[in-house]
Amino acid sequence: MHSPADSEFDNLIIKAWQDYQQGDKSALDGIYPDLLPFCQRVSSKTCKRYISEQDEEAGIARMALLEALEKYNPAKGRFIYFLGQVIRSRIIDYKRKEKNRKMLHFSFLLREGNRMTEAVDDSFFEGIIDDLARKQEIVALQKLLQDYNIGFKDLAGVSPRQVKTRESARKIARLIAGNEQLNRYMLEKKMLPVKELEEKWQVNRKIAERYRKFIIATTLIYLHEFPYLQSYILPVRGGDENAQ
Amino acid sequence: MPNRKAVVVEAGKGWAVILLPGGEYKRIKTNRYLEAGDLYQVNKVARVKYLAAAAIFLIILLGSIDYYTVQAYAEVSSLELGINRWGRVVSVEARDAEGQRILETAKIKNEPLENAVEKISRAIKEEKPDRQGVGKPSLSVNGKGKAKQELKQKMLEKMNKGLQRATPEKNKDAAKVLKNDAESQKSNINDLNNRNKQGNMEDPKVKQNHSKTNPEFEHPGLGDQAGKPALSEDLPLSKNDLATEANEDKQTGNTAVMKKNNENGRKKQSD
Repeated sequence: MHSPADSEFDNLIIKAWQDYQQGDKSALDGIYPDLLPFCQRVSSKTCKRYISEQDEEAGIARMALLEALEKYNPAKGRFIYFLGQVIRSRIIDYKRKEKNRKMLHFSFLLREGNRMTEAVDDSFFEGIIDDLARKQEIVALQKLLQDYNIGFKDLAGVSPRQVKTRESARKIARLIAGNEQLNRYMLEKKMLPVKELEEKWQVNRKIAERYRKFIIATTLIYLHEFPYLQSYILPVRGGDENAQ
Repeated sequence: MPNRKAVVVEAGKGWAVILLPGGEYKRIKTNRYLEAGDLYQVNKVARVKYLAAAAIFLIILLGSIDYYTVQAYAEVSSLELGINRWGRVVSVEARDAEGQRILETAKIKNEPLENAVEKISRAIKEEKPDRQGVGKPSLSVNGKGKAKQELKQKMLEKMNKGLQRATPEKNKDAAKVLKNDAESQKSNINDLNNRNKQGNMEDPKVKQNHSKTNPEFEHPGLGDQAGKPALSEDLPLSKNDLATEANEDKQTGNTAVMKKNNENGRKKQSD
C-alpha cells in the first residue's frame, strides 16, 4: 500500500540520495533518524531476535545503509525496499562467516539457517513499514496511558470478554470522546466522569466502574490520530463474535 | 471461523499483550520473537488442542480416583480385600501372619474378586492341605441404597464363583452360605424396591424391625468347619457388636465402615 505519506517520504529519500551522490555527506542527517527504526526492524526480523544499538548486527545495518545509498538506482523501485534487501543480505553474509568461524549449534542451523536465507520480496518490507507505523501509534498511546497509570498488561486484565459488554464499554468511550464537557473532565482530572455519565446519560455505573481503564484507553484512541488502532477497537462484523 | 490477526502492543520474553479485532486486549504466552506493532495470527486450533488435552487428563485423573475408591470390603480367611465398583481388588490388608504369607504368594491386587478369592483359597490349600476351605468369608458395602445392595449381591456371587473354582469340595459349605446370602440379598433388593414404591423407607418402625437379613448390617459367614451356616458371636462382626458400635458411632460420629476406610487410607498412604 502506497500512501501519500509514503510518497512524501520516498521523495525525501530521493532528494537525500541525490545530494549524497553529488558529494554532500551530510545529506543523510535529515533522513537517518527516520531510516534507523526500519534498519533495526529488518535486522531483528532477519535474526528472529531483538537487535539493539550495541549489537554487531546493528553496525552491519548502518554500513548496509551507506552501501544502499551508493548503489541505489531509482529504476530499481522504492529505496526502502532496496535498503531492506541490502541489510538482509549483509546480515546473512555475516551469519555465514560466523558459522564458519565458530561452532554454532547444529539445531540452530537447521532451525534458523533456512529461514534466514530464504528470499523475500517487497511485501516483507512493506509489512515492516506497516509494523513501524503501528508501533508509532502504540508508543504514543502508551505514553498517554502512563498519565492515567494504565499499562497494556492492566488492559489485558480488565478487557471485557463478552462482546456485548465490550460494545457497551466502547459506546461509553465514544460518548466521552464525542462530548467536549465529558472528555475535558477526563483529560484534566485523569478519571472518568462516572456520576455525570450515570445521571445525565443513563450509563450503567457498574460497567463504567468495572471497565474504567478499558474505557479510558478506548477514549484516548478515539480522541487522537490513531487510524490503525481505531480500526481494531471497532466491533468485528459477522462471524463468531464471541470468540476469544 | 477464520483466524484473525491481532496487533502486538507490548512484548517481553515469553509473553506479549495483543489487541484483537473487536478491541479486546489479551495476554498470551509465546516463544516467538515479537515487537510492538507486529501482526499476530491468533491460532484457535492450539487452544482447542489444549482444552482437549486438559479434558483427557481430567477424565484419566477422575477415572483413576474412582478406580481406587473402595465400595465394598470382603473378608476371606484373614485377609480384608477392598473392592471397587468394577469388582476388582484395590486394597489388601492382612490381619495376621497367615494372611501376610498368603499375600506374599498370591498376587491379588487389581484382580477380579472371584480370581482373588480363588487364589487365596488355593494358597491356603497349599499351605494347609488338611484345612476345610476358607473360613468365614464375609462382605460389607459402604453406604445404603439399591445400587449398593445390588453391588453387594454381585460381589457375593463373585466370591462364590471364586470358591467354586478353587476347591469346590472343601469350600462347599462356604459356597453354599454365600449362595444363600446372595439369594437373600436379591430378595432384600426386591423389598427395597417395594418400600420405595410405598414410600415408607423412612418409617422408623421398619428400621427397628430389621431382621437378621437387613442388608445394612448383614455379615453372612461360615460358622464352623462342620458346615453349619450361622450368624453368631463367632462372626467378625455380630449383631451385638454392630449394635454396640452403632451406639459408639453415634457418640463419635463415625461409622464402623468409615473407621475401616480411615485405616485403609492410612495404610495406603504409608505404602
